[in-house]
Amino acid sequence: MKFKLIIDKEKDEEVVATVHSCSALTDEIEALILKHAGADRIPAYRDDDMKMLAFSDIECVTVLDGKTYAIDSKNQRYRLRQRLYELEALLPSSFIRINKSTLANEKRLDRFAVTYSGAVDAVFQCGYTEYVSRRCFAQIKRRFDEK
Amino acid sequence: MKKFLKEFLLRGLICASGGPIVLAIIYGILGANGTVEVFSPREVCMGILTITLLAFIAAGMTAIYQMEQLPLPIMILLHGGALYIAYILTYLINGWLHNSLVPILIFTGIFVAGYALIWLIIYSIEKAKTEVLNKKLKEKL
Repeated sequence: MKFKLIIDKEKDEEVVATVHSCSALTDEIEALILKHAGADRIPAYRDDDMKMLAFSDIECVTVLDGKTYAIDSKNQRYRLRQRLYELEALLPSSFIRINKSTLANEKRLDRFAVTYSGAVDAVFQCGYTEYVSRRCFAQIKRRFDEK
Repeated sequence: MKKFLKEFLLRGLICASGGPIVLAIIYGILGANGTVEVFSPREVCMGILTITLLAFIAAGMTAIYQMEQLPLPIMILLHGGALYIAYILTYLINGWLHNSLVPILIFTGIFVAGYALIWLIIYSIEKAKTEVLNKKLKEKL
């Protein structure tokens, strides 16, 4: 892999990487750039408190009763102001859709578990469990096969 | 619900024509074996109509699995229940099953066993897929 650095004060600053597939390296580059730009956190609300929640602390983002919540590594639920599709564009690529209303941080996934009814659940490191839809399961499988 | 009905109709209409084809194959086999030599127009018409409806329902009901908000056991119950009712009515209307307790119980037993077997196969496949995925997840982390 080559490394190319272009210094041009006329252009907007951006980091572009051309790779064959996502890898631990691309994840690290993405996290580093987001952190450097101060865009690795999101305002999250719990009771009357507001906290800047680091993306790396979020296990998953889910919609419950029409409201968007982030579940952190301590299994605490925080309200987010953005809609799920906005978060999908905002969050790093380690966040993958596991059903119509949930984005999972694959780095915080503990395992996938099959239920006796034949469905698949995603079990997070904090113990939180969320179902995986069949369509998303196939997409996750393809994503893992590529890596 | 609107999405389900649309998907139900679409899937049902796509597969409904498969029913009479299956019926024609069965009639062909029965005729070739000499099991049945003559069908009355009523039997043929009723057979074609009911089996078309059965294929429509059987295919259409798979749309239930698109309704992510429903828990899977409920989906299985609704799917299995609809299939059971559709099958048993088709068999009874066409006289393929005697309308008495013992044949209906035997049919029910076979249906439940068949349905359970299919789900066991699906469960095993899903389990195997999940184990592969877990292995890849562990490698990744």
